[in-house]
Amino acid sequence: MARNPLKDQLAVVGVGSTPYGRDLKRTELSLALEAATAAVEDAGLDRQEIDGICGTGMDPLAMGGSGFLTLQGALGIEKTTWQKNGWLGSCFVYAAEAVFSGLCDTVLVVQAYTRGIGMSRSAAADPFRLRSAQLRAAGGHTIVGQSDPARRWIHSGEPYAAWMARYLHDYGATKDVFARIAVNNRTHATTNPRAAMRTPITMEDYHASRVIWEPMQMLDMDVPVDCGEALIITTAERARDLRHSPVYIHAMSLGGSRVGEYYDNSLGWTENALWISLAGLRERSDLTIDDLDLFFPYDGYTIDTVGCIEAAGFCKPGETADLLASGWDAEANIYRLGGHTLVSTNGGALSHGRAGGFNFYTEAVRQLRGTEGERQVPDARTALVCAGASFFHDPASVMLRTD
Amino acid sequence: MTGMADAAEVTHATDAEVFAALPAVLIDRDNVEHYRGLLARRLLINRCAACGYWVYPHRPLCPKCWSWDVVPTQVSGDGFVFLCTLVHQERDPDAAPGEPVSTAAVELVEQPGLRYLAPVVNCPPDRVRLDMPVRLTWVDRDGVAWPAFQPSGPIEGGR
Amino acid sequence: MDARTLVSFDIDGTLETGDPAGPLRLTFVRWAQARGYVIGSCSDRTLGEQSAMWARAGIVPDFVSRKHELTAVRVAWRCQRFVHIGDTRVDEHFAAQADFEFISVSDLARRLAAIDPMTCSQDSSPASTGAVLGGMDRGKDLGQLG
Ligand SMILES: [Zn+2]
Repeated sequence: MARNPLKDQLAVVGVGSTPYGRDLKRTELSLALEAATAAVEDAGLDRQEIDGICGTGMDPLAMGGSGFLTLQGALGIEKTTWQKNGWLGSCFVYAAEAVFSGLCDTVLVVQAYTRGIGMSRSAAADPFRLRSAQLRAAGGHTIVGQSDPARRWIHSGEPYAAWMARYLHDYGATKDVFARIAVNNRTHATTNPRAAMRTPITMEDYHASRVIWEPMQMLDMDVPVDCGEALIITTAERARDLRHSPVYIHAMSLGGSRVGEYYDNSLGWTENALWISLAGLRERSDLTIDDLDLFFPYDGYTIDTVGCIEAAGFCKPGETADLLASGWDAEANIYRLGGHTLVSTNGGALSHGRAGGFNFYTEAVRQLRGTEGERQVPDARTALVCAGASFFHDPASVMLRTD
Repeated sequence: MTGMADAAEVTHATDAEVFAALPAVLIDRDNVEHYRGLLARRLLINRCAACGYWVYPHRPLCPKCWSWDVVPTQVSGDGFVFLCTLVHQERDPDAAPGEPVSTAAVELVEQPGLRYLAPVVNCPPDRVRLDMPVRLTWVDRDGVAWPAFQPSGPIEGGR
Repeated sequence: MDARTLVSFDIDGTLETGDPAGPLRLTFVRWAQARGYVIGSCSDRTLGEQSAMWARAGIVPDFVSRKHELTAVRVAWRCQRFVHIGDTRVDEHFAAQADFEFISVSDLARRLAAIDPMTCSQDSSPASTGAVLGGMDRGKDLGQLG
């Protein structure tokens, strides 16, 4: 017998369907929304009870269709702690396992399909279907963003630069807050043999680097690399029989807001998806930031790290500059949070390299196992990883611990 | 603005004309009225006829009340700069840097959080300020008039 | 007025030590320095990173510069001729902004390969290095200007 711990633990409580037709003259999104609203109404749920969404497709950044980024906003669902795109029969399973695991309580699965231009001659003659197929084939959102000036902030770095300006404006901080993050990460990278960037930098180097999207500079940006990372997860019971001391997943949370795409419409600084993810983690974790030995905030741009520090609760919104200044170790060229928590010990995406934050997990596991020799952080037992923690979509917060 | 005689304004382009005028834009049945409006130099945003909520980005269902009665409606064009960055270099790493161009998320007065992304023109880029009041205007790009915003009050001095 | 020629090298995508590695070997830089050219680097890498690269190569450059600060190099060195060798339109832009002649490293590499494979990573028949930059710029031989 295989394990089946979810036996009788889950149920389907609502269903919704649209009409079927050869040419309904509607978007895929429109059909998805009709089915979704029907299912919620069939279940008799308040839509704000939905805290997980599985949209349609295989591309996590799918836009313009019926992916979860679009669906959550279009349905006006304020907060989700689990999101995924999927298709065929497997998306049902993803959704079920999300509920079973406690990542969300009530999940909405939405699948919508439209007739592609390759499926019939009349579909190929429809200018709407043709335009969609052409642009998706040519790279989808990139083309959309570039061709309509109002649509260029889709999965774009420019709004992060704009948020840097807004942050400096609203909280009266100086760019030293970003400089300290860049320097800290580079300092840690100098001892990481895997890091792409290992020559030390100074605050002055940061401030003198070239401006790309004002006020964002070269050293605010992570370093694109070729790399590979992998890890294996098994049950805690099995893990105790294996070679290494287990690193336990203590708690996890994803985060989604109703503005997951079209970043110009982003919510306020403390309302974006990143904050929802870290709030979701707090609600699930017995460990707090006071217990943290290691912190791995996302650093695709330095402003991401500022967001992670504040959303995790190390300080109030707008106070990171003071926190980093007071925690700055001028001799070591690093900062500590709360006097002891080390940050981005691998060098982060800024200096180790851009791996979607997956290198945060592997670094955290190695440090928590205690196998890192000269670069080992003494007695590291807890780590909070915020990998790929974009303001807008797919932030993941994971608390790891050892015995 | 360059090369756009008023006589060339199309008051109600057909679908085919909208597709032809905007060859690289993802036009679908939920946003085609917006682009038809642009060709007539009217900035149309979907609005819920049931509850009055402005629905942007363009979607067919009101996210507040789930009404399907969403009507493309012209906005006043008044707003303020909520987010702005000066783009020195496009994302393409081989793009030649140019004179910095502002890219601003302008919050329209119609509704908190209702923002339209466009350049700020008729203002030196280094004098664009957050929260600065602006008003809709139009700029030519590839022969099409696109929305832009210009200061509607006095411009502050350089930094 | 210094009668020498100043040659600024971009690093990434231009020199063999760049990331990505470029087609130009450091042999060429050493040759230029030996011939009396003022040489250095101009890159988006930090000054510390540039200096570290030269130190590893055992070359003492006359200058290192941030990519957007080439104009300061022009002011600091009163040479007769200023050349920036790079691989991108970004290089071309900042070279033009600082009034440097821009030489595309891929063009240069093709010519070098035909003259002396030691100076660039493409294989070709060996020949004299004397005329390397000749023809790259208004038909002049850079060697004659050195
Ligand atoms: Zn409504």
